[in-house]
Order: sequence, then structure tokens, then C-alpha cells
Amino acid sequence: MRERLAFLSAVITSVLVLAMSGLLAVKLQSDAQAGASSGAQNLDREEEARFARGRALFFSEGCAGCHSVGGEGNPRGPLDGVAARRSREQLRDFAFGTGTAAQELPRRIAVAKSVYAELSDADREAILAFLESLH
Amino acid sequence: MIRAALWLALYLGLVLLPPALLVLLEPPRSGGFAWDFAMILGYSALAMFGLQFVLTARFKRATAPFGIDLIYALHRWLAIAALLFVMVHVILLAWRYPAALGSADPLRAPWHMSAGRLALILFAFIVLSSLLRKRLRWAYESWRFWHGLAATAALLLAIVHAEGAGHFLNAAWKQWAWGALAAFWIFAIIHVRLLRPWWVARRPWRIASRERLAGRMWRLRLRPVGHEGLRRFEPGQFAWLSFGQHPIRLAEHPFSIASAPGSEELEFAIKELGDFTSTIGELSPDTHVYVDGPYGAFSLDREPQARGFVFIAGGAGIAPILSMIRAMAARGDLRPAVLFYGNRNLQRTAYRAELAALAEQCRLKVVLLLHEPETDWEGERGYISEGILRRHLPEKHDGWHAFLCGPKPMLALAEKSLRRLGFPLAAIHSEIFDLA
Repeated sequence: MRERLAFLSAVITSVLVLAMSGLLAVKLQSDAQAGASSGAQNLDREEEARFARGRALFFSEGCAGCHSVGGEGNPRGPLDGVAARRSREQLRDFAFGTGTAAQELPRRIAVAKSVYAELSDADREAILAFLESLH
Repeated sequence: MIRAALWLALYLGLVLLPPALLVLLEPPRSGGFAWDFAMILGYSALAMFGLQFVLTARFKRATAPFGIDLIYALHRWLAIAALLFVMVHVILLAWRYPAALGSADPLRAPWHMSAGRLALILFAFIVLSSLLRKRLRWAYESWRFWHGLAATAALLLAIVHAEGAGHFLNAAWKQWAWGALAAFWIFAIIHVRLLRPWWVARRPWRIASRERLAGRMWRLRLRPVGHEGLRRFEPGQFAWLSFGQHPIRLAEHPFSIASAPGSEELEFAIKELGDFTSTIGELSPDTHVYVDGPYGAFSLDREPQARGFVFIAGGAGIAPILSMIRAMAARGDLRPAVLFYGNRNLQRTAYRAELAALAEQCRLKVVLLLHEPETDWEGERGYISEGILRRHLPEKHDGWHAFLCGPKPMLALAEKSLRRLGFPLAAIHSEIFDLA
């Protein structure tokens, strides 16, 4: 009997946790829709092919852990159209946490990006080229 | 009931408050429903895992309204739920946002992702090993050691994972609040693993006497060494005992107290069951014993308005019942009571003389039930049944409460029979003995 009571309490608790988590996610959705105007553009397939290497690096080096492109990766940091908003220099600084971006970015993000200093120049150029294609 | 509901609400609050704060105040950028739901579920599951330590920290105030046996059962079921939630968290992401998960190779993946993966593996190990411990014939003491170690490591890794991933931690205060919450869980671990054992270790007991009662049942009397002992408890409660070693070694076992409250010595009735209990006869008289208690909600003191009592005990299950009857005798409580005490035969029936004496002192009727009785036995035979209950209980038993302690099949039979006699569920009390 007490086993059943424990089981029932656990089920009720779990269902409530699940429901409340869902409600919180819905709430976040409605907040986002109220004040969002995402100018995401679709990727040109030809450009995607041209910058395949940079794209591969984008996903293999962990960029996609925080950013998405064309719906792939972390949807909360979309980079679609980023090249339209940023100059090449800005793209470089924000991508690798250098220059003015080192001060502008939150500390934890700057630290996270500092690992990309270890990439070869060629790899960094490839990533940059990929980012530049994101009009 | 109301207090229990309040504690459940508190639990829900502690689980949902972290994700709610992260989402509702300074809302972070949304990543679509699937992403946000996966993240919130991750935070909720992490909070549930953190609270697992609080559930088993044996905070007396928190466990009192439920009985700690229920808390341990909850601990088990909620662990399964939390593991399912973590799996939904991972599966949702793997299905909708595989690129965000990145490489599973720990050499290539960011450290916080590897920490999360390792935590998930450990959590799954903890839950499975606990559910399968008996089938795997894993000794309780060793299992308990690894359970604690793996759980601590898994929680720390999961905290690192959430902190490193940092989703929704988009403000400095959120990181502070998050750190404070993690500190609270870590305090619970320290309380369970260090503070409580340390407190128990400062109050050692010694074996005052030890004798074979009947069959494989032993009577163990403990006397406090250099402290006032444990005089205040509710008759029917139990304590965790550990023998002859520092209690930090984790080899402790729950036993019901058989003596009544108020005396210096504590009495336990312990049955040899083939595990640790088989060594009870070999303990030397000056062995140190550590007592962590009292715990449990199985007591007639919880039902002060009861007009009479049915006690149903099997074998060593007599211990908490005896404590209650002894307390009734000591208090001059003259409410009517009937005890049904089941054993194999008369020779295996412990406390016969004492129960007969108590029957003289109180309005207690003792019914012995033997399922393999001696040839000249004229009393009740077999197992507890509706018929046996009817024969010995008064016609009118409105407002009576029943207390059941014994093996699971006996409990099931007794519950069914009592229900047929019209006992409401709320008037039938038992305890989950199998805590591990």
C-alpha cells in the first residue's frame, strides 16, 4: 500500500514537472514571438558547396554548440545573414574573440572562443569565408 | 495530509524554480519549442537529481510527515523519472539539432559536453544497478558505497555540464543563483556523507546483552556510552544500526526498536536472514554500536484519536508492535487491542511470556497463529485471514486502527482481510521494510 502511495506520488510529481517544463517552454516561445524579427536568410546551395571546408569546420570545431546556420546547430544563436550585418573584420573578431570583440563579448563567451586561436590560419580563413557567405 | 501536500509542493518548487527563474526573468533568446523544452527539462532533471541527496539526507523534519520508508521509495521512483527526463533532453536534441550536440568523441567535444555525457552514463548506471542490485547479488554495503560515489560524481559532472553549456545563463545573477543552488545540493551530500555520520559517531553504544529468543531471533540490548541515549521516540519507529566500526564506513542496517520510549537501554529484535544479520550471534559484548534514529511514521502516536488497535505481526515484525504495546502498558493506555502474531510453530514464537504478561496489564488479547504448529496445538493455524480476524475482533471496531509488520505476502493478506472487514485504507498502517 505504501509502495503504491510512493509510486503514485512520484508519478504525480513527475507529470507536474513535465507539464510545467512544457508550459515554461511555451511561455518562452510567446515572449520570443512578441519581440522577434529574425531576418534569417536561406543559404545559397552553391555557396554552401564553395565553402564546404569552412562549413565542415564550423560543425566539427564546436561553433554549432552555440550557433546555427540554416537551422542546423544551436537555434538560439542563428548566424544566418550575419555577413550582411558585420564587416569582415568584425566577423573575424567576433568569431575568434580577438580585437574589440574580446571586450564586447561576455567573459565566459570570450573564454569559450579563445580556444579557436589554436586553429591553423588556413582553417580560420576557411571558417571566415564560410561566415562571409552568410548574407 | 496537508503537511505532506505542502512538502510535495516544496519539492515541486525546488525542481521548477531554477528553470522558471532562468526563463521568466530577463527571458533568454528562444530556440524554438523543442530546443527550449529540452533545455528546461534538462534543468528540471538536474534539480531532481540534486534533490535526491536531500531526500536521503534523513532530515528528520522533512521526513516526519511521510515516514522515511516512503521517502526512500520516492527516491527510487523519482530517480527513474529524472533519468527519463534527461533521456528526453538528449533525444530531442539529437533528433532536432544533431549539430548542436557536436562530436561524441571526448578528444574533440567541448569538455562540458563530455561532462554531460559521462554524467548521463553514470546516472543510468546508478538507476539500473539499484533496481537490479538483488538480481545481480551485489552486496548491500558495496553497492551503497559505489552508489554514493557515482551519484556524487554524476551530480558534479552534470552541474559542470549545465554551467559550461550555459544556455539560459544569460545574466550574471543567473550564474550566481545557479551556483548557490549547486552549493545547496553539495551541502546535502556533505550532510549525508560526513556531518550525520560524524554526529552519530560521537554517540556510541555498547551491547548490554544479547540472547537467542526463539529460532533465529535474537534480542539485542544496547546501552549508551557517555551520553543520555535515545529516550524520546514514537513507539514503532526504527533506527539505523552499524556495528563495530566507524559509522562512516556506511555498513548500516535499519531495525525497529522493540523497547518502549523512556528507558536508558534500547532493545532490538533481530532475525538471522543469511546476510549481515547472521553474524549477530558472533558479536563480542564490547562491540561498539552506532545508532542513527529515530525514523519512521509507523506508530500509534500518529493516530491519537484511535479507539482501539489491531496489531498484525509476523516473525521479527513483532519488534515495532511490541514497542507500541509496551508503551501502552507503561502509559496505562486502556484502549482495547488485539494482536495477531504469526510464526512457524510455538518454538519459533518469540516473546511469549512477555506478551502474556502484557495481556494481563492492558486490555490486550494475544492470538498466536502457527502455520506448521506442534501436534498438540489447539490455537489458530495457517495464515491471517478474514475468518481469523472475525473470530477475535469485537463486533464493533469503528475508529480502530490496524498496524501491520511482517513479510510482504503476510502484509498483502492482512490488508485484504482488513478491507473486507470494513477497515478504511487510512486506518491500515504498514511500513516498507525493504529500504535498500
